[in-house]
Amino acid sequence: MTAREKRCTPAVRDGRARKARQFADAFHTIHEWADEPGDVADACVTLAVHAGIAAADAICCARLGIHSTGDNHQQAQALLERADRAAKKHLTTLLSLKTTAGYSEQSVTAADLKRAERAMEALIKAMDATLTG
Amino acid sequence: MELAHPMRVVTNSLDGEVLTVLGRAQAEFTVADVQRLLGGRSDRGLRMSLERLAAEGVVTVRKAGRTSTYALNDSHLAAPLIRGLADLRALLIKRLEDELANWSQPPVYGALFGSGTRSDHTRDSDIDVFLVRPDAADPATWDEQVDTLSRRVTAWTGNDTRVLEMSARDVGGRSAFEPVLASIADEGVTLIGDRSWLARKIRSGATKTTRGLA
Repeated sequence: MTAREKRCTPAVRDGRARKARQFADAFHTIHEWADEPGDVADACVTLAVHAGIAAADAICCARLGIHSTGDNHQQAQALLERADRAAKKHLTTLLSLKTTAGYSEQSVTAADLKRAERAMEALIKAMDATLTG
Repeated sequence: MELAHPMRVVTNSLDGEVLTVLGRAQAEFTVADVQRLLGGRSDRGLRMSLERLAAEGVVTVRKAGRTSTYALNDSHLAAPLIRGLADLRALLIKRLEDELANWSQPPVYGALFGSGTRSDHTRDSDIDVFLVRPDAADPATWDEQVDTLSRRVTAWTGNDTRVLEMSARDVGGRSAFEPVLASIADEGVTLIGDRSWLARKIRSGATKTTRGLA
């Protein structure tokens, strides 16, 4: 275990899973109620990123007993790859959109929004398939 | 089968539990790591199990100072089979998804729920499946689909299958305080449809109920 990894308790695993679902639900609610999906694309992608990160943490907790902390994206992806190789590419997709959606003056595109939704759903699905509370 | 302990379909031993941990990850584990994931197992028992599996060749050992780390040996002929057994629950979910997606009258929403989503699922537990019937579904076709699904899931797992079904209209009309719907929305594993649809239906039902009480 490195300094940027933290041991999980069942409470941490379940708490991260709960947040993953909460962020995903918020994504769908905002997306559905927007007059134009493009108007809320950055907010939705940011929610998808948070949902995906939380789902990745829950998967790592369940399969490895540890999860990633801090902002090192490479390390978070490497840890998820050890827990669930197929899920890693979805986290990579989401993390590649994080800065544009959340911290830059530019907006994400409609295609980015679709990619983020697909990646988020794939990570939630992988989490659901992994967890037994 | 026990969804939380899938390896028990072939062995009820500590070796099986250890192989489940190693088979669910592409990672090296110390004895302490395995102990934390399994809980309640003795350090000595786990060490003996890992060494026994290493002697069999299915587990690799790497020594770093005084610490040994263990991993599944993916070159071993048995490794893909062990990984498959360790993730049987994921296979069940995939089969259920594929089955429902191929229905001529697919559900509006479907989820695995109950003990199948928790660690207390045993070989005597049911497999609980929640299905939301389209309001326009033909009853005979729908019933046949549900019956076929129930028989198949029982054949796949050895567990009884219980299907909880309601119409889309009923879901919207029921109170959010009905515990089973709230539990499915919180903990259910979605098999088809959109979980946020269910959450919205429950919320709209709660709004109606609250207005009705006012």
